[in-house]
Amino acid sequence: MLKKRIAWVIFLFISVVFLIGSSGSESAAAAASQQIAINRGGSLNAAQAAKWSSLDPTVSSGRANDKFIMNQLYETLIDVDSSGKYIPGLVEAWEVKDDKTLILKLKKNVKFHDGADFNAEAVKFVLERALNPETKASFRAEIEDIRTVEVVDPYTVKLILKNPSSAILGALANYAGYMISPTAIQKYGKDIVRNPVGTGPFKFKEAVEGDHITLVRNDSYHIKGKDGKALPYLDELSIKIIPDDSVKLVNLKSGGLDLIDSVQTINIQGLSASKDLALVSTSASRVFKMILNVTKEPLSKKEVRQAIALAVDREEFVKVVANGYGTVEPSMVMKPQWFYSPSVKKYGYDIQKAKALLAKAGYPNGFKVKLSFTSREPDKTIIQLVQSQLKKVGIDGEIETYDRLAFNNTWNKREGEIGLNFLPVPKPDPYMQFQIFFATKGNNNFTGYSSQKFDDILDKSKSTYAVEKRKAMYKELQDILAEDSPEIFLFHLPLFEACTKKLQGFRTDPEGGWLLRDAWMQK
Amino acid sequence: MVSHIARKLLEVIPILLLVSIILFAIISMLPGDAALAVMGESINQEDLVRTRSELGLDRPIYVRYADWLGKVLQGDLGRAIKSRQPVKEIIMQRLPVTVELTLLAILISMVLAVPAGIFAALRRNSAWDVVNGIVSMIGIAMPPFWMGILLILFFSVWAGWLPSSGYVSFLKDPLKNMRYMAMPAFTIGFAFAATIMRQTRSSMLEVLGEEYIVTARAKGLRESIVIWKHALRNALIPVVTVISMQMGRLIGGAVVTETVFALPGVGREMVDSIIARDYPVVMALILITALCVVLTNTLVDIIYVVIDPRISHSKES
Repeated sequence: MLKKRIAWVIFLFISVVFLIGSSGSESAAAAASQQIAINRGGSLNAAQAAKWSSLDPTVSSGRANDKFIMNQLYETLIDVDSSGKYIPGLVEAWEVKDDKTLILKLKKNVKFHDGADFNAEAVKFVLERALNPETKASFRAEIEDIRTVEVVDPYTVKLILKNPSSAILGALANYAGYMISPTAIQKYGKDIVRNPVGTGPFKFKEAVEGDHITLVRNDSYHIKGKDGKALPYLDELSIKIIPDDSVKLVNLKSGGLDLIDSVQTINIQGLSASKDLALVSTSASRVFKMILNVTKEPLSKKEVRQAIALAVDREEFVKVVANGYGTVEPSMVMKPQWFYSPSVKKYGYDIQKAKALLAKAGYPNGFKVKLSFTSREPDKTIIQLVQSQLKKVGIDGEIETYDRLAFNNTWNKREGEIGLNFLPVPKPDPYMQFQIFFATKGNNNFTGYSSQKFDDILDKSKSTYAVEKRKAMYKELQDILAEDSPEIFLFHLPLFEACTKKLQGFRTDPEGGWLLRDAWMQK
Repeated sequence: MVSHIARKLLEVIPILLLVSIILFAIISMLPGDAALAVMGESINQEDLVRTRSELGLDRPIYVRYADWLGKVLQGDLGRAIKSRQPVKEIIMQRLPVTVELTLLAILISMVLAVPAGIFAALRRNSAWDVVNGIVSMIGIAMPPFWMGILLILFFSVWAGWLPSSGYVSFLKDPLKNMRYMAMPAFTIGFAFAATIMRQTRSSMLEVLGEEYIVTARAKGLRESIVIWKHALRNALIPVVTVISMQMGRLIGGAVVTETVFALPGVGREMVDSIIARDYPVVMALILITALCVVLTNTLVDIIYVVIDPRISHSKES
């Protein structure tokens, strides 16, 4: 009797769910016939973890995260190839006429999604808009060296610089280089943030803020595919916002999604073994680092900061946090970057030396300190490791949890003591990678670090065009940072994406932003 | 009855006003503000100050509140700070999803829980009762997040019957909408059913012990009439109360469930807006949630009368 009843209940439950489920369920078993010829059409369902900050690249504050969408809607004046070299984008050719003059030859027959021509007037309009402080462009500091933008002829632009700047090309290969339709800016005014109009392979269709965005094929795109017809191959592109990793992954497995960003290292092995899914390693990383407030005792003492640098066991982070997929580097420069130098001063793990340095600084028994971090993974794990490692040299860390804005707010006012954050690398130009956190005037100089020597060399590195000379300068800057240790570099965590094996032609830019222009789905 | 409803509705005004004051104060007290959210990673002090004054965030809190309230009273809910989307539009996009999810969850939980509760009470200490007790404990103990993932693993990854995430409006394609909503609604409904089942069981047990039930049986009424007409009606009153009191919890559960199934509902937007300190959006969404809760309570008052005609609001002192 009992068995019968239980069986009945289970039967009822399953049949109800089955009834809902079976109506129109897609046959997942439609085995993809191996096809080498490019398959045009169809749609791609992707998901990224972070909400986009804006659809107007000028005021985007998400940078790395917003690129997943930006790269589809807009194109930059200059592109960067996988080795970090500049290649033509919307600019066909460029010439450094003298230290302070840059000539840009624009590509012809390019149209914005609203039908407006892409030409020299458009470039002038977009750059001048970004240079205007009223616009509050998030990258203004990167292009402030531009004095004037002149239209030479309809497809030639001359940039006159205030100072020589080798970093300007990098800026034009990044957010400052995304071209927005001037007619759309005039039409929508401030509302351009939700009505994006670029020259990219996909056009904006609709979006629910914080939930998803749908883009459709730009039929008049200017680049042709391998089959001789205009790109892109895909008809539609939907990017969802799914913050949770396990939810994203389970959706990828079920076929609800075709592409996801930032796969956690813990899931890498499972994905590598999968029959239907592919793991894509990007060239981008996150450099996790401790930031030390150099304006506060005892962190204002160099010996104390160096002691902390010696007291952290970096290999443990790679093992515990990155499951072996991370790397330890002496600074925030990545190995493939052209200005990487293996001979930069490095800190090993040396508790005795750390204790000696603390004693020398007058803290033989250590001290108490606040450890602040943003509540998310892997930051939570990292900060706990930091706490336990510092305890071994007598530094007693008290963990303080913040949300992202509160963390920025605290450090913006330099109220933190030791903090944990990360730097997404690479940046298109080394100057940007060094300036923002360490220059006295750097926008994210949370530590209060200020070194005349550092600032001078950094400025010189920007006004130098010769690559070898620049390389030597960046080596010197890294040595200064190691010596002064305002920030302590823990490890580099590479970014991985995952997709269905049906997705072909998918690429990422050096910063990990998706490039879906040449992407297509196998049948 | 009509005057009672009218009075209930009038009570909404001071409640919402109070909620809005407390809310506004809390959002203002949070470290970090919307200007910081707008500026993001590259914080330039001048731009930050400029943005702050443009958004009016440098004014004293009572001035900002009065400004916001004045506009709301004129029907202007403002725009989201970062995206510049009108708040009204956000509500129109998001609210239907959460309302549908909540209603379906209640429906599922009622269908599952009320009959199960009745049978458990009638067959007290039977195997059925024990199984019921175990299932309802699972429902209460299992976090909706985990439940959601398990459902996706089973019905989407393994069986391939239901889509794992996404949303289509009911008006656009009712069938597809139901397929998308089935798992999220079940996730919330199952947890909720556990509470209702236990409530139904215990109030049914209590009613079954009442003297009028003994009297009804003594009169020789059929058992089905005794149960369905005499016992159930009375037993349902506390059940309805529980449902109305759990509205807040239901909407709270929707936040998590919407995240798991990537539904564009109010819950997710609320969390995102709090993180971004986007106060026009937070204020509007929480006030609407509060309004929903208050209105549900009013509705429940009406349902009481329908279930039990002895309760009449016009006669109460």
